[in-house]
Amino acid sequence: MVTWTKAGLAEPRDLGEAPRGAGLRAAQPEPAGVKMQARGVDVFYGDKQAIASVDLSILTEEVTALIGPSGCGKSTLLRCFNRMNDDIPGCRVTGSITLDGMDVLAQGLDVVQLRARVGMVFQKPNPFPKSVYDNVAYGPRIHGLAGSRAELDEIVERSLSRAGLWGEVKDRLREPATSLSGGQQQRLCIARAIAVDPEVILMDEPCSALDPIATGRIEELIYELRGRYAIAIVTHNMQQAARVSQRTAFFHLGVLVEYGRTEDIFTNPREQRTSDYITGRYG
Amino acid sequence: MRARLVGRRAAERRFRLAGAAAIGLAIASLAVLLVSIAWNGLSAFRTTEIRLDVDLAPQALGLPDGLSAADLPAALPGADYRGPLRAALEALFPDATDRRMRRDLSALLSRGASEDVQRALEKNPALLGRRVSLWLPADDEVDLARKGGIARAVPESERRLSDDQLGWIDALRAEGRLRSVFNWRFLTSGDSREPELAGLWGALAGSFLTLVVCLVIVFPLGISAAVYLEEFAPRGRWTDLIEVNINNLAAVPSIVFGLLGLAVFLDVASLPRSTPVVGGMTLALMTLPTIIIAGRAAIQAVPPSIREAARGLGASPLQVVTHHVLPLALPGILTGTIIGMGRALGETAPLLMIGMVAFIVDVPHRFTDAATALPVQIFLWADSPERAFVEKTSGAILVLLGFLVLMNAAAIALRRRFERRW
Amino acid sequence: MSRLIDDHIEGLRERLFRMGGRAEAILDKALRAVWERDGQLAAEVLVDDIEIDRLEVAIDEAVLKALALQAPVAEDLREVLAVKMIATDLERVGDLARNVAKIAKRLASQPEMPLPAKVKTLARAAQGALRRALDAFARTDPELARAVLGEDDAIDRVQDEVVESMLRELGSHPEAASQEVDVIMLAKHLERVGDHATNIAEDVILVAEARNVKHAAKLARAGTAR
Repeated sequence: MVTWTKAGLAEPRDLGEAPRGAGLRAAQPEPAGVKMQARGVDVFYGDKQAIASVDLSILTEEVTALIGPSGCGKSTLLRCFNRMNDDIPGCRVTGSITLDGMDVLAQGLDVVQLRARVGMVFQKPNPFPKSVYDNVAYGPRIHGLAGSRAELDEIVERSLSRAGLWGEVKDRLREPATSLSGGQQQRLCIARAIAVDPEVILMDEPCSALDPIATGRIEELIYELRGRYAIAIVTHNMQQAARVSQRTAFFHLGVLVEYGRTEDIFTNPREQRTSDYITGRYG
Repeated sequence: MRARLVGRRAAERRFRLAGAAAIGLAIASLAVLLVSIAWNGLSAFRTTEIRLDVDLAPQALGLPDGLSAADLPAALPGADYRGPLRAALEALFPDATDRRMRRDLSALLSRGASEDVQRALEKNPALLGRRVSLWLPADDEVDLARKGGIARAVPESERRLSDDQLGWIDALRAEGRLRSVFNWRFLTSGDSREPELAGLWGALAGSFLTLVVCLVIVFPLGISAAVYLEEFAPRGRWTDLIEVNINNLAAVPSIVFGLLGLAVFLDVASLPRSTPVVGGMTLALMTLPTIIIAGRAAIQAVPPSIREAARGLGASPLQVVTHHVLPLALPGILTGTIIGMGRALGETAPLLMIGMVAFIVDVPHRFTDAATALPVQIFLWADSPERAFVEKTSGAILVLLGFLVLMNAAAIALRRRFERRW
Repeated sequence: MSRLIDDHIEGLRERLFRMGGRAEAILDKALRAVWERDGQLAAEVLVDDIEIDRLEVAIDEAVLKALALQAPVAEDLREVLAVKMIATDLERVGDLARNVAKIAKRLASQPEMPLPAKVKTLARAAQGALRRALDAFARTDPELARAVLGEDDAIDRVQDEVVESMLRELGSHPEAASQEVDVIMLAKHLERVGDHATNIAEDVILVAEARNVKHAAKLARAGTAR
């Protein structure tokens, strides 16, 4: 099994350096700017096919939005990128998904390390029932990212600052995370994901459970974060995708209908289905 | 339309009345049970003492002359205490002349009175050679008489106490030499053939040791099994089969576990019978399904969003369980464990099967000492012919119920304390 | 608090200022070519105008993008629409500057003819109106915009005077007919520049006060004024 030290996590492997371990292909580097690439991905729940033959890229320094009506498979696809679908019994993923050229779907892959590089924020804010500090510190603790208490404090402060929450909670670090408002809790979850210094952040409808003001703040946060992380966001709110993303992928019934730059999709979509969905004629 | 409304109201009223009646019936039954037990049992907590003026001269005690202070403690156990006690009684009632009357007179005093005198001397050796006034335990029949348990109207031959004895008792009472005190012995001494000396301490110690063994086995095993079944076991036919079996085991009559314990622990493994080790292991078998079921329920109650969040951060399945699931499930698990222990405290049948039914006088100290348990003690006393054991049985039942209430209250308090909102 | 749409609006304004600066510059260059009878300068204007057209296309795309992606409302929406409308006016000003440059070229190749003084007055008034209208947009200043609206009549009057005087000249000096006609066309172009400045000022009032004052006088006379 390939073991990745934290130092090696940020570096893609060289071409031709075949890693030890069963079933891992030698890494082929992706074109510049492509952080994660899905090729021909199918997802089955038992016999039912949820996603058919999807090709999708998540690019660095960009926000990629996945839109589409309910049940079209966008969340399912998102969860393939950090192999959260492994936890669902009967779920089978075929095809190829790579991170910096490294095959993510390989059998022998250490999923724990993968998730330190590819973080996730969920629909309903789900902070641990611990203090604000302990929530953010949990990831660094289990991955051994801080050598001392001072280093851990620094990581916590940095993550909370990047999530735009430091000012509001710096005097309340020991209070339970559940005492924060909904919008603050979601920003806390984002800080928690950032704390392990991931390269990719996957967001599954992060604003659906929030009021419009909180939603607006998180959208701005996402826009700011794109400079540092490659972000993929699933949203059922098209306008949110239009506001926040640079690239948009439209899904319908498990199929990727259209994928391109957001401004093109929203000013001149190529596919009729895309146009129908965006203009509200769908359904 | 109006008729329908009236009909519905009537139906609701009937339903409410039925519910109230059911609760009322349950409460009434419970009240009857408790009142009848308390009626019989509260008197077990009081006992009768007689004040005697005892002459503690060394000769009367059969001690050699000129005994030094250092040699005294060794000599005391062998001294004759019945002599001075008999003398004290006869001094009070000089009209007891013939042998029968003198035997009846000394029968008023408990056999334990001798030990009390010995202990008094051990505590204060200066009493030797003096004439002291001591409160000494009376015989159980005297105790019963004072509590009004002897029907005086019945002819003498059908009574336990003769007319003379009743007369002496009245006289003692008149002289203020008869008193009723809290029966500490009931809680602090081991079992005895003499009802007035019988106590629960042995049974309490035995129950405690048994429960400790049971807890030590059942807690780690039960939690591990619950965690494995909930978090790690692959969903499938085998897991379902195990789940069904565990649920069934929780409903199996406890005596079956006793038979199992008898067969495996005693016959096959040849462990010492009637010990807390075997008793604890047998009770552990009985309690394990309950703990597993309670543990699984507590673990299932942890919201999946917490697990997802932890997995998403890169926690391994084991870390998810130890860092998040177990701490959150702990209140539920503890509650289930305490309730399970409460049930184990009150189980008699399996302990009877593995032989914890012998008459044990010594208080057990080690897990391998012969012991009895509280419910078994109740069973033994209930079987006893002496009238005085009736109140003792009810008294012991009160003690057992008291412990059960305590344990349930502890379970509730623990749950309240550790409950977290998420 | 910075909003996602602020980036878009900043980009639009920046492009518009560039376009406005450019339009003013080439109009000024074309007029100088007329005063100084400089054919070379006139030729440069024809090339400079292309930049303005490019900017208009860029602003078109940016406005479309802002509307599609950010769905602005209220003042943001009025501002985005105003940018589009002002860009259109500035593009026309660019075309007018090109026409003036063509006039300059023709005048330069012919014997010098003294221009009436009023023509320079007209040019200064039109250029002034344009500059003040663009300033009003930059500062979102409805007062300044209203001042520009007030100048429109004066510009029209001066234009009428120039035309009348040239028509008289046509009668008395027919040999310089082509130059005289060019001066009339010049006056008309300058008056059009004033009109565009007026349009820009009206757009500023729309942004600042959400009030559409276009064709106010005419609509009032026709009985349908708001």
